[in-house]
Amino acid sequence: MLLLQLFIDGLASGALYALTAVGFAIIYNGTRILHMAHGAVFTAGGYALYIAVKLLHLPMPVAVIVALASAAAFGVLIDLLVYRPLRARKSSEAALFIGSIGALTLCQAVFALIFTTDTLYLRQGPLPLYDIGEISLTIMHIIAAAIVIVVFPILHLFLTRTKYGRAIRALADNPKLSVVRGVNVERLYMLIFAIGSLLAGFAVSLIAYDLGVRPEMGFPVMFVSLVAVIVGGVGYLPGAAAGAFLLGLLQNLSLWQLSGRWQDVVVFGALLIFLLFRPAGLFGHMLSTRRV
Amino acid sequence: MLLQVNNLQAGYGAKKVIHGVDLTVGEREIVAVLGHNGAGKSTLMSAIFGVLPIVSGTISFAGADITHSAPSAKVIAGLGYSPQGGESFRSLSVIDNLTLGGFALKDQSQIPGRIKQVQELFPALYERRHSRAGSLSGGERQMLSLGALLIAAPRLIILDEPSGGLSPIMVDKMYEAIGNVAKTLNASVLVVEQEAHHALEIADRAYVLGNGRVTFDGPAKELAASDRLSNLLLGF
Repeated sequence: MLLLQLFIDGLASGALYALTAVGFAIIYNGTRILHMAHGAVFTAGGYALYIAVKLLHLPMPVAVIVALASAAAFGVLIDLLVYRPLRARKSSEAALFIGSIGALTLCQAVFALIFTTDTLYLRQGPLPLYDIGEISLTIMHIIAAAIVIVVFPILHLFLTRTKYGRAIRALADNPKLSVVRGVNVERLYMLIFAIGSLLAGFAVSLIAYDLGVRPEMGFPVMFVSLVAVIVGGVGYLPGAAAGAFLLGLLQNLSLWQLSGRWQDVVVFGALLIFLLFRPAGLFGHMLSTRRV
Repeated sequence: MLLQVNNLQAGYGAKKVIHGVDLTVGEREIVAVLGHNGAGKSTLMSAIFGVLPIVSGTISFAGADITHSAPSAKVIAGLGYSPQGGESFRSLSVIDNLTLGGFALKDQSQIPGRIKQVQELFPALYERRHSRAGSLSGGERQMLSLGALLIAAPRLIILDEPSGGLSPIMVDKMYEAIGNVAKTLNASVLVVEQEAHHALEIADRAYVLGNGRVTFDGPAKELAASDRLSNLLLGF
């Protein structure tokens, strides 16, 4: 039953990718920024968790809240320090993209200077396994599933039922009319970055606890998120989540035949196939305009 | 005067489009701004609403200087603006579009009651409340655009080409609705049109713009009866 086990593992990593990818997609849809520094936000959340657990000796639930808040604050900070000055000069989307790569690279270097390039572990040894029939689950599988089941419906309710959620969808649809309606766009950007970064914070809390923290840990996750958004169909949040699950499954199922070193090849192979045969993504046909 | 625009100059970057315009709108007054294509009508409206930077001049509304106020402050002060083309949030439902019309309101609990009033005024916006705005017909979209700004209960309604893209019958209906709205809400209206006939019928006063300057300013009846009307509108 190796395949079934790999399928379950794939769902768990898909859930974590989905959190990061949907965060990335909310930011892209709302602000049109290809926010590659989302990877740095992810890593910052990991180090925040490490500091809270190992240095401040906070209980785990408190430490996770610290990590979530730190990720959200870090995302907003990147918007304020990197993107807002570029927007003020009316920079192009390309310039913002370069700026985001610069921010990602700089943050990775600073993390390495402060925390060294070693992996910092939050715990030792393997996680206890719960055997159900022929598959084994760890606490990570269960928490990943629980987070997705709780967080995504709340996000959906927020975006469809609340004043500011509606404003985020409106901004993605028609920025000019949003201004006419009295939306303070710069302030809404801060909220969008906070929410997108918070989602990455959930994912990194689990990954950091399970596998430890490294300066460049956000980089592969960032690329999987970007590919997930393209595979799912740019502009459609459930598409980004579906793309993330698809990539998580592909990565894990490929372990059946391929060594783990091939995981990036699997992700970019999927990207190539989609770009060639279905460039609008899984749900691209459902989009007439971009939206959150 | 509810709205007072003094010697306003505005444009896009270095390109100035409005060269010193004076314009006033009184309480419960309907004012038409006419002019040929490219005369600067839309630019003037976006400058008044604050979507476009103002080079010089002043704008005051209900006695307060709002020249450099943010659009959100203008909405709260009682200014409602419907940009050209009956714009809407196309991927959002009609009801979401209406709700967003009240975004700037401090008291959000007023919104459902006002949506109900607007839906009584425009029953189509009730029937299609769960449809995406992008799927509405041209007429329904103009109604939505007007209806959404009414949610904020404005004292002055600025409409940029409310007849745009409508069939002649729909234009009649639209202007009837504008007249009704102004009366029921005790609101003033500043309406921009390229097609002069309907606007002059409901307007108290009219301005004609030509190349970013006021070329006529007087009672709407006088302009409608004037044999200079077509020349003025063509920009001669």
